Amino acid sequence: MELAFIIIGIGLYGLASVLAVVSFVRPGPSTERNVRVSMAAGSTALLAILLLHGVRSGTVPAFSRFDAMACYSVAATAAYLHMAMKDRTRGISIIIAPYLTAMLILAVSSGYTGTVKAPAVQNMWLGLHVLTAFVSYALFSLAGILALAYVLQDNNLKRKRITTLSRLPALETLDRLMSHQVGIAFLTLTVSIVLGFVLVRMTGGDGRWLTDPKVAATVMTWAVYAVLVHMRASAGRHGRGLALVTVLGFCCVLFAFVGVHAIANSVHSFPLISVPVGQ
Amino acid sequence: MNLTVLGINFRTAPIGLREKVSFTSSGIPMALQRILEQLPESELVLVSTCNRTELYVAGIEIADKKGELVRALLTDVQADETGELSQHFYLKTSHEAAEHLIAVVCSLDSMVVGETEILGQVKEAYMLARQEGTVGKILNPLFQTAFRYAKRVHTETDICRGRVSVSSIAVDFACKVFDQLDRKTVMIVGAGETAELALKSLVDKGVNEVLVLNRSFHNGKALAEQHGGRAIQFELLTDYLSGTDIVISSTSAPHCVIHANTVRSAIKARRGRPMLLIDIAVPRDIEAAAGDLENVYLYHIDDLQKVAYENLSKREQGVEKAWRIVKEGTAELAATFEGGALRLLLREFDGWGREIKDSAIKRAFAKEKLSSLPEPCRDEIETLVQKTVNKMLAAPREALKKAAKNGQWDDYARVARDLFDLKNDSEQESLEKESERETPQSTGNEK
Repeated sequence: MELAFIIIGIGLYGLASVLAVVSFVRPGPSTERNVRVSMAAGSTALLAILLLHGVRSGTVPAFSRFDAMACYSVAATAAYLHMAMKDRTRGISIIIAPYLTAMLILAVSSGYTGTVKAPAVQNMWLGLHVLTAFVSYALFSLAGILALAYVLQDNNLKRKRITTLSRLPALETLDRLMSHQVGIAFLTLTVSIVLGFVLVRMTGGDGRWLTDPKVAATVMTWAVYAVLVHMRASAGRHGRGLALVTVLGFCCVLFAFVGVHAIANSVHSFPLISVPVGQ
Repeated sequence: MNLTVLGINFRTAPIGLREKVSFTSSGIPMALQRILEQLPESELVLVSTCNRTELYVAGIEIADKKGELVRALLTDVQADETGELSQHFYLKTSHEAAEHLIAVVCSLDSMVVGETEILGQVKEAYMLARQEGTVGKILNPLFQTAFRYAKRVHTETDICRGRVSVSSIAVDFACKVFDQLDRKTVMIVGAGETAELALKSLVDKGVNEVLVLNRSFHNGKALAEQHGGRAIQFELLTDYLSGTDIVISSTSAPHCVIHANTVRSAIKARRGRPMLLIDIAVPRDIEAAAGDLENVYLYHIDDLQKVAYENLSKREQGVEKAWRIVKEGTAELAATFEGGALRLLLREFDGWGREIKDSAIKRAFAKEKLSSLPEPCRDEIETLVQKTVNKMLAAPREALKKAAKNGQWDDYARVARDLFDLKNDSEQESLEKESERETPQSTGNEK
């Protein structure tokens, strides 16, 4: 049953990717809507899995690699759908749908039934810390995708051509949307970092937590976005330069979220205790 | 198919002549009623645009009455002019007329192939005719089918994709750079026909403010008033540049009037907010190096024309496919209209065969030798004769069915009627009779 839901969820994201390509190449009155429906259905299936894992582990389902990625994908999808419906943007789905599909396939390839039952994670504040971090990563990722679309559209316009890529939203639209996403994500990440420090204090954590590679990567990410937010809010800057900084921030997010675990041992990695289905 | 189109268009007549035979939307209903008085029992649709005036007539035989039809259409034109105008009109009938209508609504017959306005204009003409009650069971399905095939051509081919005029491409680029044009300021430097068209397109899109800079302040003021804008002294160009989102330049100056350094200062003051520069002048008004600056999008006339040619080329590639769809539409219409005529003619064939059989049997059994034959033998002979007649008619029936499918109906039907000496009713009358036979209660004469 669990596997079926996962296959359905990822399958719907895959379908959304195909539909996004079709919608981009041959836009029609309902093609973009079909992409959104498919993504919404896919994220609903993932939410069901997360609920199941939450019931099994008795805490926030965000401590295994698959759960973390599922949380991230659901948050990114919700943010994208909200943005797409509110601003009637078209064309971004061609980047975000395949991206999320690839991330989910990557996550499921490392197992999907593992849930974390360590006593250390049975803490509501820790759950909130992790969830806010994932939501901020998701929003930063959406901003990064918008920035990528900005750079593509900018290159296209500089080449003085009207091509299929021109169907991406207008530069100013992308600039405005990425500014919104970065603003909310920056606040969320700040809350997550503060919660993390409070948790270390509360649980009497030692210096390992503060020198952890994941913490360092996250603080570095926060610093990049702090500069970006300052450039936008205080200096009132816009344009390609800021889009490139947003792409750089997106790379930092990917490193802090996934990459850091591949190159260094982190105290943020919990041992996985597999709980068989039915327990 | 009893259909005729009488028309005049940009290919057959210059605008000076076309404007004499054009009708406004408010004038079309009156014209339809007037023509209906002269051509009673006919179905009519009158299409009138700046590039064509066409009268679609169905239900009556008028193929050889071009002059009469032209006079019916042009009552307001002097009699001596009617003769001159008449030679600029074309007359198409039957399949050719149906194919022409589909080609027109698919914009394959337009001055700019792929323009979509013609579909709306023909729809409006059709609605006016419906309101006047001048469309019926021939023109209704004809126009509905044509609109359906126009939609197919628009979705299945590239003939409507991409703009082909410099001014509309400039607006396209503006829409790719800016979020909402209604918050933007446009500056037009100098004035030229294309620049004014681009400005007009942007004003139509709802730009917030229009600034006009011209060497002649008086001319600039006139242009500004025309577009609800503000005239600015030419010398103040640099001061106003940073507050401008879109610049359209088209002066006749022999040198650059906007230098890269000026644009650099402006974009710095704008803190990276993008700026669109459209240079339609030859020689160029805006230094090419300005286009290399970040967040500056500079398009010269050649860039815009290149896009126009590319789009035009894409449209032309779609024309062949569009014509194939038009042919399919014509075949469908032919099948729709000729299906009814075919059924009627085959029924007449059966009647003709039955008549021959009955007559032969009657004469044979009247003879003394056969009059004493028992009933079973008589039935057998009757069946034999019927089968012989059926076999004789089988080949012509098949040939007619094939002709109806292949669009050769008119010729075959005429020959068949001549060969078998069948009554040559007009198709419309025949269809009506058939319709009456199928719904006998509507005749009121059912016995």
